[in-house]
Amino acid sequence: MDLDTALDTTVKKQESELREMEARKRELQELAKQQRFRPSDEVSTFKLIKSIKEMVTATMTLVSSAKRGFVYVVPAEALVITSLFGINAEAKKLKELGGYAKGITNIAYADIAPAQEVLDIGEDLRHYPDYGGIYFAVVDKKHCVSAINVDIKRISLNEPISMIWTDDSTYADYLCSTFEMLWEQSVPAAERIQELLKRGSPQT
Amino acid sequence: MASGTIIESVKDAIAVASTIMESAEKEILWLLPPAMLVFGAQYGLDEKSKMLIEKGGRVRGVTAISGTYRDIVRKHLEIGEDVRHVDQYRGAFMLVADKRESISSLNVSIEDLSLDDRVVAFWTDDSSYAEYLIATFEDAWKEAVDAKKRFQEL
Repeated sequence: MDLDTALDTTVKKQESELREMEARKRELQELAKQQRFRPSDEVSTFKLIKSIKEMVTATMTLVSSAKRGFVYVVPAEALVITSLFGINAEAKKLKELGGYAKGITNIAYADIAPAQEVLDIGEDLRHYPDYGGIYFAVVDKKHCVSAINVDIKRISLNEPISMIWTDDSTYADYLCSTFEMLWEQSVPAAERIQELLKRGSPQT
Repeated sequence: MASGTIIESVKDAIAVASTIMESAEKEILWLLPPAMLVFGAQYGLDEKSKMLIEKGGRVRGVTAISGTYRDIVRKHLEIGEDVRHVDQYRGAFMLVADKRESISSLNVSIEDLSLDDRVVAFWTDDSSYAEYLIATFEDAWKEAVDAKKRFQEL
């Protein structure tokens, strides 16, 4: 193929891609228009959560009132909090009643015990290495808490965090879709724990 | 809270970003993985940004600038955007126009992002959601360093 033909092919390909993008834009605009004008009698609310104490209270309320189940993506430190403040006990009750509990976290050697505790109560837990996104949880595909800024330096009820709580079902759908994508990309926690145990403590 | 549309591919996210940029009248803020800038240029998004700036609008962006992406960031600076560099960003990615319309994602793989990848993003014109994203953007902006300073480091 000579240079002119190669250039011509490239230009044609790009023109075709741009046309395809314009067509997709119109389709998406139409879809968004339909969704925005879809009548809804639901009223959604949201509020800010500003400390671990408020997060524990909100999570406890949500998990204990869950009818179907919950999914979450959290830092491993949060598994210590769910254990200490009785959220795991509520999750266990939900599992015994047939509910679902699926979680994703980043498990290091120091997190084996809290991760194992979550597995022992029957939750489906997975490991996602070096997760760099936003942490969140969704209960009954409706109630959501998602982080604005969660950098837990110590496990204390007064530790400041910024999270948003909402019962907007569209937002819940969005978080659930994100969760499903991450779930596919993660590995079972039990596998990860075995791997870490085989490797041994990084300090020894 | 926000009612909106869930977007599930990189290509659709670019199509939505293009729509949002076309409708912007005053300001665009973006916080994106650098690969998205390459895809954006491929589909003419930088032209839309240029048009807004020529009409008196402002565009500010934050990304992770490495040697690989130096040229694409330079193009953004040349059209008049204010761009900053952030190291190891962990959080939501976004594009927000006029403090109202936005597309954002809770998790985008920063490395090895390709046009055919699956992403999950949220497109909404809810101003309270835009406010939440803008607060995140401003935090990153404060932490970030000027792109030109970053070029010197590289």
